[in-house]
Amino acid sequence: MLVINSLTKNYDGFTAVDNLSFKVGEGEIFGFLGHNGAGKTTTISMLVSLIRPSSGSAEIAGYDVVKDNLKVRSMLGYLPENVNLYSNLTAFENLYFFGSLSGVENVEKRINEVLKDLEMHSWKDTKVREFSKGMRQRIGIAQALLHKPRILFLDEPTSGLDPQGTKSIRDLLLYINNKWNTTIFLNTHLLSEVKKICSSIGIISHGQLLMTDSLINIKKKFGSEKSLEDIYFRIEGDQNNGENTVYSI
Amino acid sequence: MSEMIVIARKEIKDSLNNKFFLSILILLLILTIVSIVLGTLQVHSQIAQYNRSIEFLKSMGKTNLPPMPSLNPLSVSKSFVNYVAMIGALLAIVLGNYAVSKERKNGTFKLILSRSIYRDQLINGKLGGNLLLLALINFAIAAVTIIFLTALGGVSLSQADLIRLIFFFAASFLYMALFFIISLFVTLLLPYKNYALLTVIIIWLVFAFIFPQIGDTMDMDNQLPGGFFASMGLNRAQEKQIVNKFKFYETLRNGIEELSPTKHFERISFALLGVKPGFKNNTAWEIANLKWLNLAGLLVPNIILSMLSYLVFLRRENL
Ligand SMILES: Nc1ncnc2c1ncn2[C@@H]1O[C@H](COP(=O)(O)OP(=O)(O)OP(=O)(O)O)[C@@H](O)[C@H]1O
Ligand SMILES: [Mg+2]
Repeated sequence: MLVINSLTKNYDGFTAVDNLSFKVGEGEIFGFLGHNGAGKTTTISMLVSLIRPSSGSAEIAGYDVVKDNLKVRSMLGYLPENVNLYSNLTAFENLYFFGSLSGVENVEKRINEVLKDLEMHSWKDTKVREFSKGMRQRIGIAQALLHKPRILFLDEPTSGLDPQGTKSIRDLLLYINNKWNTTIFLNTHLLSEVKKICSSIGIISHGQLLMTDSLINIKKKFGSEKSLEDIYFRIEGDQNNGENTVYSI
Repeated sequence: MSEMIVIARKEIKDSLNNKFFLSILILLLILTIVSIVLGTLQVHSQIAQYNRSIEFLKSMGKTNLPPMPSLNPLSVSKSFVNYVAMIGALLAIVLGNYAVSKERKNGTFKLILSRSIYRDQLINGKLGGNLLLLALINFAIAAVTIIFLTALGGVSLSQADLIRLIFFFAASFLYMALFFIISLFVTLLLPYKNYALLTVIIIWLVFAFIFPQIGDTMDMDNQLPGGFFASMGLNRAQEKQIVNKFKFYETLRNGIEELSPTKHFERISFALLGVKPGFKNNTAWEIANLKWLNLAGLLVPNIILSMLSYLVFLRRENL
């Protein structure tokens, strides 16, 4: 579904994403894990073709994210981090706008369908500014689903939510993945989140991919007694130690 | 439905749901009405005064009565020019700022641009929607003006008057459009919306107050109320002759004023509304021709800044 090849992004000499290569299979929930400033958002921005890679390439369902960017964008749904939507407009008006922009046929019917699926239908005519953060995030996911995308890119969809809100978004993602076999690419710095819903993960640090594998394999490789948290810190630690070693020589 | 129309419609809907924008709009409408009411009262009191003096002259047995002073129904809306110059510009500045800053703040630029649309469809929709909104606002104010002039002033507007009014509102649209596009452009360039707003307000103060002030202070014709040349009993040809003698001075003064879109707008408006004497017998078209330089002064920066906004919009990676 998603093939990334030596993807790199430089900002004035600073490399935010460094030579990234990996694949995500169809129907997977892929957790892209990294600390603040690791390069998660920069990576997603290149994949949804908001910004251009400095070098390297990426393909979604066989289409290049730069050359075939219109086609690629018609196949994906995207929820950036900290999105507020148009607070002066109602949920329906927001969705109508984004649905029409995506060229969804019979938008009104489709909005009702999605809102029912997301259990937000009774809030249809409420202005978005009156929503809680969790509800706004649901409408944010709704706008990404309107045109029936094959792959969803979500940038920290549970940041700022309480445990209940986090769980409900998690359940929603599992539901979407189950029902339409939608591939989900999920940015997060929460290990617990990855553990609960992802089928495979990638770990990024300082713009570089530390490792990528299925959740099962990772658990196997590192022994079942280790939690994902430990794995994460061990890999990072190894790297830091490595650097230290080099430094001490 | 084309993407551009979808975006234009959203721009209008969003603004009409925006309380700050709405309050400025309502203020502008109220001021329009107030200026007409005050202007009408003034005209009425002039008529009353004329009638009283006629009565008095008649009672003295005079038969040689002065004629009724010619009253210009349009000049009633004269102070409106100043309201547009101030509040209209402010309204446009707010629109231009919001068109960029709200999308940035809400993250909706990303939601729009991650869909299968081109960037120029987005900027076309934004320009189209907001300019249409400004046109609608001018249309609404024009309607209010005509209704109140006829209802309160008791004046019937001739067809020529109506055409002049329409031309005036077209000029006021161009003027507001210019401040919209200045604000949009500056907000695109600057990362923080408050810096952008402050910058544009400073630009506006310089254009709307400081440059015209410099020009006015230097204007010979402004040294006497009612106009220096008119009170000397000089016609426009003679006025020209005299002004020619002060050529350098006039060129400098004009140069400063020509930098100000507010002055361009005022010059066109005062000619059209008959506030500035000397255009009474011209049609609106003729005035537009006579004032082509001022029209260009509004149009050309509009076009240049639109093109610059396009460039920034299409080239910038992070909007
Ligand atoms: N437009 C830009 N210009 C310069 N540097 C940038 C730009 N965008 C991002 N960066 C830098 O690139 C690095 C990666 O940023 P990115 O936003 O991708 O991190 P992230 O993993 O999403 O972090 P977070 O968890 O905080 O969201 C950061 O050091 C950031 O400062
Ligand atoms: Mg991020």
